[in-house]
Amino acid sequence: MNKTRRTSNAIRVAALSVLGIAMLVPLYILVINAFKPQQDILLSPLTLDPATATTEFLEAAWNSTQFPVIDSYLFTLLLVVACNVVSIAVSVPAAYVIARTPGLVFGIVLMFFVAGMFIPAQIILVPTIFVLKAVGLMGTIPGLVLFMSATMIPFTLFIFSGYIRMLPRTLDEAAMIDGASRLRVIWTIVFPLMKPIVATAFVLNALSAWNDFVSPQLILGPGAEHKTITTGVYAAVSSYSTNYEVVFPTLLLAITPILVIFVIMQRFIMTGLASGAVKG
Amino acid sequence: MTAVDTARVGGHRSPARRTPPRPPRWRRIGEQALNGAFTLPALIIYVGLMVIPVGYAVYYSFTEYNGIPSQSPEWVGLDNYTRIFADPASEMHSSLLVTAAIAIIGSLVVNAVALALALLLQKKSRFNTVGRVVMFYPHVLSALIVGFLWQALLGPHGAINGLIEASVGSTIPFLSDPNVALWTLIGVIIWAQFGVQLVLYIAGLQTVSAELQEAARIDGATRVQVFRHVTWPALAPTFTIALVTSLLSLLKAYDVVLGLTNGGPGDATQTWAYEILAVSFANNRVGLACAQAVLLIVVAAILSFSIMALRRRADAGAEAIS
Amino acid sequence: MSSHSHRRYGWIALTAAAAITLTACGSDGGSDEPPSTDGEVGGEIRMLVNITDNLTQEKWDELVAPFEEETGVDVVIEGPTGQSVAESFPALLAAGTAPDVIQSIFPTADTAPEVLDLTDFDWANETPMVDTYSTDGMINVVGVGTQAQSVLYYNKDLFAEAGIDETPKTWDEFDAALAALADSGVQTPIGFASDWATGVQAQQIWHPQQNVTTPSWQAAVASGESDLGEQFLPLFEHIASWVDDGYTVPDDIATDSGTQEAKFIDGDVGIYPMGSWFATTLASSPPEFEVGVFSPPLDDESAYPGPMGATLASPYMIWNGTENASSAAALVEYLVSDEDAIVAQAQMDDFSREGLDTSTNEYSGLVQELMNSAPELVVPGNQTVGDLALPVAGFNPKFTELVQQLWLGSSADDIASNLSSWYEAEKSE
Repeated sequence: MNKTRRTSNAIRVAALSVLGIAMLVPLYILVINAFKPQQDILLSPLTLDPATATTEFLEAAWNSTQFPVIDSYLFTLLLVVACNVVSIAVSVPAAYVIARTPGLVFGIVLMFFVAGMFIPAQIILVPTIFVLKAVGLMGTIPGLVLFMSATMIPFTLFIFSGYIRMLPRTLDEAAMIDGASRLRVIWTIVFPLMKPIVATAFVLNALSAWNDFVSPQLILGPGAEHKTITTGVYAAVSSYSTNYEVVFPTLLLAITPILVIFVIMQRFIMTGLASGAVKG
Repeated sequence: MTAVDTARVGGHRSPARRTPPRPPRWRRIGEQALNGAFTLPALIIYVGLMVIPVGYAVYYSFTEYNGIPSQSPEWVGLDNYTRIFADPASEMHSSLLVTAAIAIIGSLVVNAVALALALLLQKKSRFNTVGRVVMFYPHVLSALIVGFLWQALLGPHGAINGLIEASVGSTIPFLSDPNVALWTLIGVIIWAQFGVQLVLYIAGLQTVSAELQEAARIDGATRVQVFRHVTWPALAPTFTIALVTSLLSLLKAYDVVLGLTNGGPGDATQTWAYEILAVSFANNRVGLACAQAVLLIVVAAILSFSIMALRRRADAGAEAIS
Repeated sequence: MSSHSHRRYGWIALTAAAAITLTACGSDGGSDEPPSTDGEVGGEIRMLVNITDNLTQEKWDELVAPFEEETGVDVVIEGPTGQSVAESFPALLAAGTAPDVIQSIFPTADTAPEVLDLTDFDWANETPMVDTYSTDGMINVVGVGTQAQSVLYYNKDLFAEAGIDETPKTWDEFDAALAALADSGVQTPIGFASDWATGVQAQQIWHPQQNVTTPSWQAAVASGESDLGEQFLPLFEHIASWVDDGYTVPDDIATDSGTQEAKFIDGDVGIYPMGSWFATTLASSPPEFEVGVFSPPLDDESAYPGPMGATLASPYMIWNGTENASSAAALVEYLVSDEDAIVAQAQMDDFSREGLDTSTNEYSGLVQELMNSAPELVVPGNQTVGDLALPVAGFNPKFTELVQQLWLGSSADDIASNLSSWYEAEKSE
């Protein structure tokens, strides 16, 4: 028994390793090209020649964006966290109610929210500006956060409600019998059980916030004090130059932080109470 | 098992059962209202910043409008929709086919790959942690960058063809032959997308009762049987969510098209979203663009609701298992 | 469209994509009076420009620095919020944050009502190609110079090796030259590129002949005397025969222009059709061989060289909702009339200006000679709002999409008729 287990595990590891290496090829190319001059990029795409490798282009990209890079990283991080806080905070109670309440009404409410996932965000961007103007939030950071959260709510709510439905009712029912208010049940009992799915939502929402360079520009306006890092990066690349010496280092700057965030967060998808504790 | 479970299984009330008496009607309505209140914050934000703008889009779909604020829209009724269906310049129907191919083939492959990898990577270990990061990172790159990177790899003078030409002498027209380009596009989209569904399946696998799986194995079930009879049914809601989210993402495929082929060669890789954003909007044909967008939303709605309706029994079954 | 927006023209701004804009009820009710340009020059103005390899943020800041010093105006240079100015401008209009000055795009039927009328300015009337680009006598865009559009750059060494003594003047001679290049082993006798380049290059090769056959062809099409299919069918037939003979292959239309240009400089391409801005690229990485230029061929040798395609270089427009019209007008006047400013701009992206020597290197000198020997200058398909405008939007991308089908096996006739049906469906009444 043990031996077959070990060989099948070895096969698993081997197969995954091959697949993993294949998956990493584009990233590998992106990284090494950030250190190569134009000719090398075009003519020897897969190798890094130590003789011509240089950090000058990376440094140039770091310095050439015409706004403070650290400030932009921090601002983008702020946006990511704020949007997640808002969308998760409003989605958890709503998802709980939708998942736990039987009957047609809340089923329809869920469908209503889910319909939001069908809408490509770019299409509604400008009418949204109109709404923001009407409530006086146009050009403000809260306005931007609210819009970006609005685009995240459908998906977040959808996966939350599905997940909560998989959690047995026994725990919350027991707590309510003991006299806890609904709100307390939601946040002290159900929410801790949702760690994997909350982490999932956080990561996916963080990505869409990070990679969104259109909404910040249009809502905050071109003269905004703070810019997101992706905005600046795309400004550098938007000429769509074939000047790869600019493009690749810039791309590297853009993706590194979010990649790091993902590596850190993915642990939480695994931690959180294992199913054993849930079954009690 | 708790007292309540025993009661359910037993099918009769046991003296230990402690359900509270049914509250009076007014109280129940009050409770419903309280339930509603929990959804209110989400509703306000969502309706204000997504639903109302969509309403505008629907309105514009019945007008001819060039998007400039000082020039007002002109009502034209169903003209935009007629143009889409009649397609006099034969440009839109091909985009429909391209999008359908991406959505159908893409979702099937994405879900199959994601589920398989989730099963292989579900246990906690350093190797699996690294593996998960490696499988997910393509989604971290914005779709535009993904398209751009793969174009650099697969172009006629790109890295891959450079290698192939050095060894075999000719190149593969990944991006220059219209049919191959479409398959290349689908492949690239799958590459960038499956990480999302992978994460969803891993999260879902967390809730499958390990004890049940263990019990089944002790009873002599093979790994495949355990999967079919314990894991898969318990995973039902996750599968629904994964399927729907992958389908919706694929229907809206756009950024990656820009980076990879920009719709080319010819119009071989123009998706419906590309048609909306890069053609209609770019030409300031806002009314037409909105009509196309409304159609996209309608199709997405029909597909999603159908899938969710079909899966309802399976989803309900999952809760009973856990 | 200026050359600058040709760079990777296909990228569409998500912002412009979202140009469902505020309805009329959403916009501030502005007065119908255009802003006054008699006021004091000062304060701050914003200029939306195209940022490219040649036109970097730093170079733009350097360009406007003398103006800022002299007038005290603070000029803020902004790049596109999306991928190009053409897509950003309508989106910024919708968002209510339109810039004061807009560079690199021409007014279209949609945006023309949003830009300031410059006809009363003397300096505006003295800018190049002003008649071609005015609408019913009204000037709403001014530029700094003229960019040649129909330049065929060629590798003199490869021509010599192929035994071509004289550059071809007729289509038959052109085909023969391509055959000779192919026979002598040139990898790519004629170098087309992907995306926007396919359409632009095809049109560039056709400008001379097209304008000899049908002078002011855009007006003829707009009035219904001719149609687009008829206009371009001979060109499609030429290209189809080149594809059949293997002088250009499908891989080419999937190769971006940067790579194709690098291959030309490396010596793998015989003929490379492109505009005058390629001279700047050549100057920055000069090839080892000698480069020549010639004008595209015609049916009739006696008419050679035909009219040269040309566009206005670096066009500027002023938004008519600007709050600082006098400063904006002063800036534009500086950019299009001040000699030093003109020379500086020519160094960024090559063009010619009558009366000034703007050629900064041997290649732009060659292009200049070619332009001088042309009997007249003609504009490409969809440039202007005036008499030579086609009443459709999106001509260039559509043309590119259709012409690429020639490499994918479609027949010239089919493509020509597709072009005509598209025009019929798209054109505004």
